[in-house]
Amino acid sequence: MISRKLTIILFSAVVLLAAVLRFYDLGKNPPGINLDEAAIGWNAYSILKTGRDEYGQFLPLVFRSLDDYKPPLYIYLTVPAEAVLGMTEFAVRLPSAILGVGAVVLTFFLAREIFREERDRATLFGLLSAFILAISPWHLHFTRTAYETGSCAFFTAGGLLFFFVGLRKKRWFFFALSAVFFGLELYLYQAAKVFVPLLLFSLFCFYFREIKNNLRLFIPQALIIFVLALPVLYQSTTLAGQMRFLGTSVFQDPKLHNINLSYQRDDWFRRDRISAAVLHPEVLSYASDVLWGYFSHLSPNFFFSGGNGSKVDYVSNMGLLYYWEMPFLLSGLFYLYKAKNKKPAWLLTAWMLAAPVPASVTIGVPSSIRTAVFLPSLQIIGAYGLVNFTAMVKKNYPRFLPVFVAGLFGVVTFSLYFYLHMYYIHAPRQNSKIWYYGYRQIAEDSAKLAPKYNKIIVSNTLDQPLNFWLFFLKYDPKTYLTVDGGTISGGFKEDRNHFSKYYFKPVSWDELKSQPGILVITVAGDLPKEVPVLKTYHYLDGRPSVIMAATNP
Amino acid sequence: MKKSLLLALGVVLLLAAILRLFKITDDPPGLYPDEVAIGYNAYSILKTGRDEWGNSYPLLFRSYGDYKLPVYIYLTAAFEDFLGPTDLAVRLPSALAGIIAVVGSFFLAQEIFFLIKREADPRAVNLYSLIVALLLATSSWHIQFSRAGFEANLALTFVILGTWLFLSALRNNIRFLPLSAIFFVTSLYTYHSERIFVPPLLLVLFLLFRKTLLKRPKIFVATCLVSLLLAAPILALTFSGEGLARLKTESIFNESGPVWENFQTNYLANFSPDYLFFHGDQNGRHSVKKIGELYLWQLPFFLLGTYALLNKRSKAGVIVFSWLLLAAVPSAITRVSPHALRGLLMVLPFEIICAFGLWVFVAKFPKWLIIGLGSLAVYEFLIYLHIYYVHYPVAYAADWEAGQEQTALYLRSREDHYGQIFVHPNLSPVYLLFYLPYDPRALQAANHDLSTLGKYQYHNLYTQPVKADSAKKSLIVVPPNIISADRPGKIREIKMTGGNPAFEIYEF
Repeated sequence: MISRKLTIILFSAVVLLAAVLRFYDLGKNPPGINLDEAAIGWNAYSILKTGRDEYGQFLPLVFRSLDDYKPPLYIYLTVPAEAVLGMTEFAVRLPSAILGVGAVVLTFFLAREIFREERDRATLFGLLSAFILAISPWHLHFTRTAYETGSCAFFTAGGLLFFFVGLRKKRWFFFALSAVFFGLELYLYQAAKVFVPLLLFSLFCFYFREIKNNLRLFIPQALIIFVLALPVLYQSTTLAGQMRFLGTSVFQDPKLHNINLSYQRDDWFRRDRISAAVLHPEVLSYASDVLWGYFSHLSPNFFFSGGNGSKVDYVSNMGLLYYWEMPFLLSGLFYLYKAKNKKPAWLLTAWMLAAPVPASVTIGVPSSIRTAVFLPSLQIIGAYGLVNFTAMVKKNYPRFLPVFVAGLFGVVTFSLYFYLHMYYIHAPRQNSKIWYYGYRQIAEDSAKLAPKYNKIIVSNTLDQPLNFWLFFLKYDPKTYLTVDGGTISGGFKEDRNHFSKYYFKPVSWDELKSQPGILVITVAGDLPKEVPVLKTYHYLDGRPSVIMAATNP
Repeated sequence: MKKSLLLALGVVLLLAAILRLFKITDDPPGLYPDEVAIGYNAYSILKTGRDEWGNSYPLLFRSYGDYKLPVYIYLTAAFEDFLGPTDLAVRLPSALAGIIAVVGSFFLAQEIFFLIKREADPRAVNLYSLIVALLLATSSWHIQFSRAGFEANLALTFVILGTWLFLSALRNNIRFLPLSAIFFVTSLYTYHSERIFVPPLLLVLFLLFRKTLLKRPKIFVATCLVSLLLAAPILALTFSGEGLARLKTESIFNESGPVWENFQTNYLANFSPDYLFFHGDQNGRHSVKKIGELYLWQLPFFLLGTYALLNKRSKAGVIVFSWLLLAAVPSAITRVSPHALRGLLMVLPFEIICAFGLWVFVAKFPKWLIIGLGSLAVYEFLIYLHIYYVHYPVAYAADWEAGQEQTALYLRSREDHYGQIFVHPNLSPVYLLFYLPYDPRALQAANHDLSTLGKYQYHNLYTQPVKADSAKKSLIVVPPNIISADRPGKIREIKMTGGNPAFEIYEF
């Protein structure tokens, strides 16, 4: 249906579009990096220069960072970027953008591979899936910033793609490649540690016969996965590996638990033990929370309306998917199950059902960050629905076809334009706060003022500013580790972190005002009114952000 | 009808009746202000032919300024003729409507099934329809609103009957068409949501069946004309000041933020899994809040049913899904969404689709799975019943303004001993009006002045009230914590179910 030459042209166009959307103003929009990105940037630079992270650990498999024990892959990928470009915002976000474009490329081949049996239409599915992913607000947001979660799409798509290619060509090499992709994903993002095994298990079930018949080819794959997974498995048994889970899991929250069990207690008081035990068992209390956490990620409002938490709500009034994707998502599922070969349906459904699992046991649901592993399954399903729905219109209402296609084209173009308008014009101004806008300027200004002061105290209220200052001042990691002693801890209230003249602790003006020659940097409104403010910085919407003040010399 | 079918249907109806009538006046605990307003306006109509404001046989009841639609009130008036102004008279119409809805859903489901398969095996049709009726009978969503005086429930019954008769008219006997129209028109006079829902639904039905309808032009046109004539008053009133009053206070046009975004969020909220399957409507009167509007085990069958129904490509699918999508609109254009009451119409297509999913399942899957799932369903139902009868009246007594009724009844029993009774505004006047009951003629004569109702005098009680006749004893009725605890004369404390104090009564 589509000639080879046309395919190449369209494919290149989609990839170019994906690249443009991700690289344009990369590092500048969003305006400023957030604290995770600064942490990634600094730790990568530290590895580059010394082979050790900010705590002095040599080539760690887990980065303690802000006491959130980050997975290592993204940081290591940032190392070469910083080697070439230096420690800049662009360098920190570059791996994400590259893997984002890579995900678009792989999605083309993946969709085409999954629907290979449909011959002509397979290429169409590939092109559309790649296109929808290229313009996807969800994917764009996470591949223009250094959120590890965005890169999951690249590895999942790659892992699945080479698995299917391997099945088709019956060569062990592809399976091994697939194993590498899946194995690496385990080191990319926390949720992957649950998601990837679930996905692999589904693959194993659905393609059991093919695997059984070609066991020889799978041995290298199994081995590679095993080898790659081993350190991750080991880590899960250590406290460091578990810290993040313990910090966010729903099983730790006694308040939720008590609310669910209030009826159980009431029954106990009524001496109705049977009801208390049978009708309000504790396990149902947790089960209810977990199930609700799970299904909150399959709710229409989660996908299509904005408002998924302040950190992610950069572009207001826009959801994770475009509204026009909704009917095609639903019809895509319908047509998938109508098709003769149900395996794509099972695979994509299993993918969709597995994606919310890691997030369902956490607090703070629904979370679009933790469930970005959905991508690009939703785009592939949507593309399938789009093509089949259009075919249905063509078959049953041929007179409407031109209107339908034109209308669809208009809606898609308009939504993309609207999204870009919101993203580039309104969002930076409205939400510069969550991107810590201005910190670079503040840090550099403080460096210029540094010779005049004995100490510079940066308040913790700036949200863990240690990494920001190390990053923007391009401090030398070797000096940091050997002379300054590295980071003490990443806790919110930590007051012992410091380097050179800079100290990072809570600011208490009463204590500080008597000490001479101190420059204090804290959030606006944090100091008593009488204190003379040297300089006030502002967010892009005009609100004051940070202030500098000094004690008498 | 075969005997076994009759028996099965009888059992389902009995179940529906028990679930709706058992302890209907105790749980929900106490009538809430809208129910009391309905009750009193009905009493006023019964005794004087005018509503509480003195309007003669109105088409819209001004009440609290929310301009209630008339059908439920007139129906309650008829019940009060036999039962007097009591809680039962106000709630019984809704319960009976709920039971009739279950019957209606059985026949409606039959028609839907015949649309999917013209020459269907009668046993299959009946089994499917029984499942629909059973699901509706045991639906927590439907039960919640059948047990209190909610006009929406009565309106739903009319829509079910109207749709059933419409489809039956086309399949069996066209003479049912006018009857169908009467039910639809009546529903427009029963609840606000129907005014938004019914016209588009009728349009869909017309478009689907226009060929059949136009083959019988005389009866069709006659029905249309008469319906328009009958519906004209309410449609005209909808666009009047009073008709729009409710819309103005509740609609999203008054909300902050862009209207279109709010509409979209509100509309989609009606399909959120949390609302449907986990926690339901968070208004304490609309659900027990620990179970969704539908049972959790219905989720996979809803998906299965949707797929199966779509696959059949029949007019039934168009009707059912149009109904579902249109039913979410009334609550989407109001500020509170999801709204189980304004969206009550959604319960029927949900049960039809789930039943279809179940019917496919019952045919294909192994017995052990059926028994397992059946046990889960029964277990969840038992949890619901336990919560509804044991915990709900206690935990949500305040949402039903429990305590106001008991206070009013207590005062009625003791009022002869006292000269004057001073009442704090927290005791809503309608409760006194309805439970004394206060003579509607007197209220009309006083031009709806609620500050003095016979010997009841409203007083903000910041200062001690002055007795008209200082020789006689008087009562003071206050909510808790207004009067300091050491003040003497407290003769009674009225508590809500569950023990929270509602009002204190002092003698002086």
